[in-house]
Amino acid sequence: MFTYFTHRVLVMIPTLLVISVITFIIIQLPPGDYLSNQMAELIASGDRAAIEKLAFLRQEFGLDKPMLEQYAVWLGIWPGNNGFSGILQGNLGWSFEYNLPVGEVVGDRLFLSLVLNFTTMLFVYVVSFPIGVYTAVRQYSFGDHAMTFIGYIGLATPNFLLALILLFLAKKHFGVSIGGLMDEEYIDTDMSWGKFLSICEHMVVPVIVIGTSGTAGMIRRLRANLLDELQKQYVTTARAKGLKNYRLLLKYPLRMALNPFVADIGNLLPQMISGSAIVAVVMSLPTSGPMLVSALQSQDQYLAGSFLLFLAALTVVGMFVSDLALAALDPRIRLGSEASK
Amino acid sequence: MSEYRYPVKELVSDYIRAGSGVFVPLGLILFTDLLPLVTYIMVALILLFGIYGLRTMLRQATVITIDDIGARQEGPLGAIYDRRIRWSDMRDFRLRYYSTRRDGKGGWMQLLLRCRDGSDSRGPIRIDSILSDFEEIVHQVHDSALERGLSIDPTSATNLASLGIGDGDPAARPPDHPPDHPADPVLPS
Repeated sequence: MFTYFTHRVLVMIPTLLVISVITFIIIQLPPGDYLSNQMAELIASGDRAAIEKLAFLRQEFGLDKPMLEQYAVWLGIWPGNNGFSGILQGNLGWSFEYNLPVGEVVGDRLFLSLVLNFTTMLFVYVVSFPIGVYTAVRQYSFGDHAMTFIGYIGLATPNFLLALILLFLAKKHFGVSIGGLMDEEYIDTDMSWGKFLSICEHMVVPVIVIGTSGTAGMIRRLRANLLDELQKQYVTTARAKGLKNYRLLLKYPLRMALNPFVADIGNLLPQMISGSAIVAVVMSLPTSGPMLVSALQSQDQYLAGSFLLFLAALTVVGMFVSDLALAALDPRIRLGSEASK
Repeated sequence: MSEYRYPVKELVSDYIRAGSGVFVPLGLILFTDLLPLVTYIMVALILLFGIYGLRTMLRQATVITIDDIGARQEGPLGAIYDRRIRWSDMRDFRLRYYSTRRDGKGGWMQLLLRCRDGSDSRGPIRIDSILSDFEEIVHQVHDSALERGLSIDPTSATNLASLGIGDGDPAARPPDHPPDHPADPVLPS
């Protein structure tokens, strides 16, 4: 397992590097940049002072340099005008749209995105695991049919629609204010107990909205896998030997059925992150999604790049955790593949 | 008695991995001014790959001996590293397969031999598939396990089948040997 861990870490580092290159290329692909777009407008209006300032900014941020050099400076592996000052040094760059360092513009958004996605993931697993096991063990019971029905509704309902319905219900029945991830009085304040409680209260609806489809899919998958395992010969043999149902379930079938459940962490993360961006727009959540969309539209390259890199890193780490869990749970050769030796 | 060693040419890629894992983060720490959090991550990587490099060196000097009595692992660190498991003391063995690729190809296997608690043997012994004649060792261990009626877990049974050993059925054991733990179910693949 140690060898696997080190090999997997070694795979993860170049993956992140390649992602950072692709991210940088994508945000550079459209012709021009934020400053050149601004300059075109200022030339049309004849504002000489502003034009000179923009030209200074172009030089200051190295936008006149080759793309490769811009990338290396942005990452922090090549000295720019201010020495080494890139992502590896904690400098996410400058947001031209907000005229502030990206770190200040982003504020709590990255952290809140992380908390929201992590909580959603926890919700998906905590809810789907017992329901998936129950529906498989009690196949065709009333509970199974009820959960299956709810699961299909979860799969079929668009997130934004569910968001609107739940927001209305939460406001009407529980008095939770609509939109945002905290009450207005806590915005731009330091973390406090009150702010924490406010975040928890506001997070209930977004977590349910973002997590519902993932939960429904996970329940179906776990149910199908477990049913498949429960019908195998060894389960019959074990029962014939007098092994108690509960012990039998935990000892082998459940462990076998968990493989796709664990492997899905890697697939679930990107789905949730992209899904949460749309929900964040609908629910006015101060997460990375809406700001990323805005940054991409205005070609605010460092802001967009920082967000994309963060989200990609989150996904890569998720895949890493998923692969490690899978290797620990079931290090079995897959059909159609062979060991190198 | 047969002796097996890790071929140097198979270990070269491990040395390259260890070297790149140590020197790239070290270069970043020395030549750039990193954020403290990033520095800690780089130090952790240096430690991880440093240990990996040392382990690779240890494996290069390791000799695995298989005979009728059992399996032995001997290396440069003497009693700290040496292991010896008699077949009669073997509790179970596990054959694991690991791959970092999405399609599961290009991976490697690891054979883990464990001895019973309280026996004279000293385990566990881990043997990777880059060892010369790995399949021959797996055959011997499998035969020895069958002779003693040891249970084989489903994962090992599938991996054994991929090497052409057994039929992937963990229940494959001589009929005159009952399972070790009567409460345990006998598993197919």
